[in-house]
Amino acid sequence: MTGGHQYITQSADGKLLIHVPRNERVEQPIRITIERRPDEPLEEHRDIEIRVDESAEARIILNDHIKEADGQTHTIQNLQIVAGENSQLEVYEVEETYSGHLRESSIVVDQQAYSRVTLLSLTLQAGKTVNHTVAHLNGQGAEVTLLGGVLADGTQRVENHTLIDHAVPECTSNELYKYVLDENAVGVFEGRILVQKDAQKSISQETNANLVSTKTARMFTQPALEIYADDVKCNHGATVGQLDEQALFYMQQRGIPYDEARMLLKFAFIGEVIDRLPLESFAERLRHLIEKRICGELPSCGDCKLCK
Amino acid sequence: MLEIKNLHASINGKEILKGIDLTIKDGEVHALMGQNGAGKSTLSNVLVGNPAYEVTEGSVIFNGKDLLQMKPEERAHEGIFMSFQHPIEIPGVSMVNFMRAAVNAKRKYHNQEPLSASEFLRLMREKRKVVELDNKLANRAVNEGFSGGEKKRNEIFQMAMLEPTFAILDETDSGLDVDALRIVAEGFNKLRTPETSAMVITHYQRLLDYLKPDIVHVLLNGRIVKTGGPELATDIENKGFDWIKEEVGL
Repeated sequence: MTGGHQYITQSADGKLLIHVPRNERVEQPIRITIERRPDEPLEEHRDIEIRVDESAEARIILNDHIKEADGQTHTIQNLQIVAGENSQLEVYEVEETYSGHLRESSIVVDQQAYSRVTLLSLTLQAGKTVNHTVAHLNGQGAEVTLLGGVLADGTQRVENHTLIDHAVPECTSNELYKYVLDENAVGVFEGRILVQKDAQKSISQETNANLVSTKTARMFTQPALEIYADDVKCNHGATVGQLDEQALFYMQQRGIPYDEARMLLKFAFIGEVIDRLPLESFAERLRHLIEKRICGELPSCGDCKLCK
Repeated sequence: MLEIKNLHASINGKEILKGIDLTIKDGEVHALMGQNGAGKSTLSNVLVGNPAYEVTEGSVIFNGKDLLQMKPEERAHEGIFMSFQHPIEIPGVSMVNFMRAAVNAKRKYHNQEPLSASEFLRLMREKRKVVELDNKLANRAVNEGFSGGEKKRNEIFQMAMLEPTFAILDETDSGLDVDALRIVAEGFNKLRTPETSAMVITHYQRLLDYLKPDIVHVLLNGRIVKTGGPELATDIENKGFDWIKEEVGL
């Protein structure tokens, strides 16, 4: 862990609590890297609570960095987030695990009035991943932004199931998930938006765009809107496409080799998600990691204890 | 520089080029004119290796090498450049990254060291002046949000960056207003040397007034049916193509 120690406590049963009290603004990101030591059990239960009180601000980076073990590893994560009135919170989750890993994650967010929460889920390397994210907009004027990026190849399977619940009026939700699937990877995206009966003046934008770069990779996408109020603005879109052949040829004519041109396009595609991150220094680092991933140079990230 | 012999090519099974013979020497600018469907764009696309087109017969020798055996990127490294009729937009790929990948790929092919970041940016600043491309455009994604004129200027900018020995301008003047045409044509002229050659595909006299071709060819039904000096372009401007069709019995 780096920085922000004063906000972090770990209880006897292993639960991690990150609590930022009222009015405190934590400028520096709190970074938590989760690794697994060889002697630890293969199955991990991860229990985390992030609580940001009224008018407080924080940025938290969670790096899920489980590497190969002598057996199948399995993580079950339970992350609860509470954003107090007028608070501002960014939680960035990056998964860099491996093909034999099973990750099941459940994130539940409870937002109070005028809170602004941005969540990023970036899957760089995985085996089978199932992420559930639920955001309850429980206070007027709350804003949530869900960003997701998935880079999958081999026989990896990455599922993201999200639910944004507009429970009260005048809340805003923005969702952008992008997948780049290669080889025989499978991607699943299920994005539900619920606008409850009294949630007038709700604004919601949901987009899932997917690049399937081989004939054998498959994407399943299902946006779903359940709208019970009548004065709302809700947009959604889902696309599945391949690499633009014309763009590839244009790049080849300029001398860029075909494989490199494909990588440039993939990087450009997923880059849109990273461009939306408020924390630019972290976005830069992610671009670097994504570039390496696309070029086939990961899984070693180079600067953690496991990879050195 | 370029020797095309008996070139036949098709697309989707339909034969478009029916035996093209054409020789272009170092330093020469050849104009290729003809009505829509004659095969002008097919010829240019075949030369740059567009996989949509199939060469069924004939040969193309570029500086002594068999061009048709080379991948599109190899042809570029050997010195061929095409200014596309409809330049593609590539969102998310910046002009800087795009050009740096292209320039360094060519340098690698010729066993040169890649340019450092600062050397590269200096090169971009220098070459932007050739077509008065401003800094804002150079920092955007490739052709994204560019007007028609800006896209064509961007093609010539890329030509300035890559320094080809043989450039194909495929209807570079289409969709350009008077000012944009002037900038594009003057930019092209600045890049000309006694060692470089070009093939300019156009319908109109305007561009040729600036570029002053050495030789003009007329393409009709997939063959070159008439070849002449610059005055041939003027004749076509004044009389159209019918007189040529009559001349060759079509």
